[in-house]
Amino acid sequence: MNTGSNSPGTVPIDALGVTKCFGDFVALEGLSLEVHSGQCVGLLGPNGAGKSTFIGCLYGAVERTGGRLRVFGLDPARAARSIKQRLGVVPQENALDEELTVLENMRLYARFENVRDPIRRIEELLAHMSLDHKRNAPIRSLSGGMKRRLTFVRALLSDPELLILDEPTTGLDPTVRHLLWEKVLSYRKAGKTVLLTTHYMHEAELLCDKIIILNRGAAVAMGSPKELIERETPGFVGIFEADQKDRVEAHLNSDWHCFNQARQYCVRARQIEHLITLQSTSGVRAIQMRPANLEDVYLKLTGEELGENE
Amino acid sequence: MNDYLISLRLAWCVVVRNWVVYRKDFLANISPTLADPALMMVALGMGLSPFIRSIGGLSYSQYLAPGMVATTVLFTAFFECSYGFYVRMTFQSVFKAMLTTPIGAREVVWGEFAWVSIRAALMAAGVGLVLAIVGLLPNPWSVFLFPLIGGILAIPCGAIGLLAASYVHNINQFQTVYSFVIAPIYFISGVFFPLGNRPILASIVQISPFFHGVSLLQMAAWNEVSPERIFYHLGALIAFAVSLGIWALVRIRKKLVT
Repeated sequence: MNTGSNSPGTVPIDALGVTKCFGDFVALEGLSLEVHSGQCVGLLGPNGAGKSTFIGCLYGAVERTGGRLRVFGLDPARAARSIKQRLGVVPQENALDEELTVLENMRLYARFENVRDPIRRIEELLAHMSLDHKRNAPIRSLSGGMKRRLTFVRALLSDPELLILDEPTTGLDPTVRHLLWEKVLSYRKAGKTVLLTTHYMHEAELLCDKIIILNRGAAVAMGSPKELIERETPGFVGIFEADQKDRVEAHLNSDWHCFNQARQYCVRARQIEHLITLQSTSGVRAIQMRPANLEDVYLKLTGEELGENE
Repeated sequence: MNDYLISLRLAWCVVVRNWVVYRKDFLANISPTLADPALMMVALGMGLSPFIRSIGGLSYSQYLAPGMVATTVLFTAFFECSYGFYVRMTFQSVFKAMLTTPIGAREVVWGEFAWVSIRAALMAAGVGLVLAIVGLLPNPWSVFLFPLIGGILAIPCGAIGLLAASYVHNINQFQTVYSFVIAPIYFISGVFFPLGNRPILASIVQISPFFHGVSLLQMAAWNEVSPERIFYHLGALIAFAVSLGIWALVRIRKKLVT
């Protein structure tokens, strides 16, 4: 069992031109990235972008087709076991044994991980995730949120240096989501490294100091959330009713960016004053005006934005 | 620690996992395995014995007895490694979670083999004990050999199950495997009738690991000590266990590690 955190300055994940093909389908196309110790890095991208494939490559569940990949300086294709002794994974599916109790499940995984003093460690983590009162409950009696928290407990049993979270909060209610965010933040405070995939941009913005946006197996942007917003979608977004589009459009400046999004018409301008002026000149009141966020970056880069000006 | 020793420890973890889940519903799990041979003995042994003359000096019930031990082993190993493994792999995603721990595909397969081997050995001992008590084993001491033969026979039978799990596209296709692979080797491997005067059939069954297991169990139960035949059947059984086991390992590795 690992007792310490990563030494600062090391690179737990170092990928260079990683490729993975499933027959003719290219799941990863020359993906290069670095995750430094103590960082929380978010992998964002649409379904099928290659996020889970890359995660599988990290611990040997997926064999890469090409490129160079090192996890803790080791090649997962040759040293998966040594790598897995130092990381914890929260996969998309909980995959808990439904017939067993919470304690029975965790004891089995503690055995797999060769955890010393497993009962103490399990009790400690169950208390940490507010699940100690459920220790003897069968898994099938737990709520979805409880099962997810238990999957976190399972991933943390060996006190890993690197925690990999594959869509950890998908389908959870806001209360559980906030609880898990707190746990990830406290884990980060302890100096551990986190790699996270998510479809919730707010989650990525809150937890990650570095974001990598994947599209069709390749990284299309990389940087801190702030840097990405500044670089890709600077300014403010005004959201109008879609049926007011013609009236708003008549007063647009050429350097503003506009797009349709979920029955709404959006305009992004450098300054919020521009949007205020747009309201008065067009006579249409915006539903909302807000600073551009990571979701705008994501939609722009993954080509899912229904662009009109681009 | 040596890499293989670590693998053995992790494979044992897979055995422990399966046991912990199995014991949760122990009676429901064990009943069919014991009930099937018992019903078979009653229906065929007691039912047909009055109509069949002795076979090589044995009553028909005595003839059937070692075959029932083999049957228990075959069904225990095949069903656990086919349906059971497929459900764990596909519906429960057990191995997806396991593979995030130091356990790899090799340890999963070794663990499955060890699990069915131990289960089959215990089942063979249990069924053998009952048969000895009711006097259907001319050599009652053979019950001590049954776990050993059953444990070895479980590996090729389990390997066939794992291979099926690696080839089928949905759970319904196991029925096809059962009908065209398991049922033929079960019915024509000497469990129900001797193959001595059927040379073509006797030649065909040489490629069935089940036949060699049945032959070893019959030799033990009937006290037929022939070093050449023991060497031949045991050697063939071990060869099938190794070759089918390696094939299953390669196939399952491909399924678990994409």
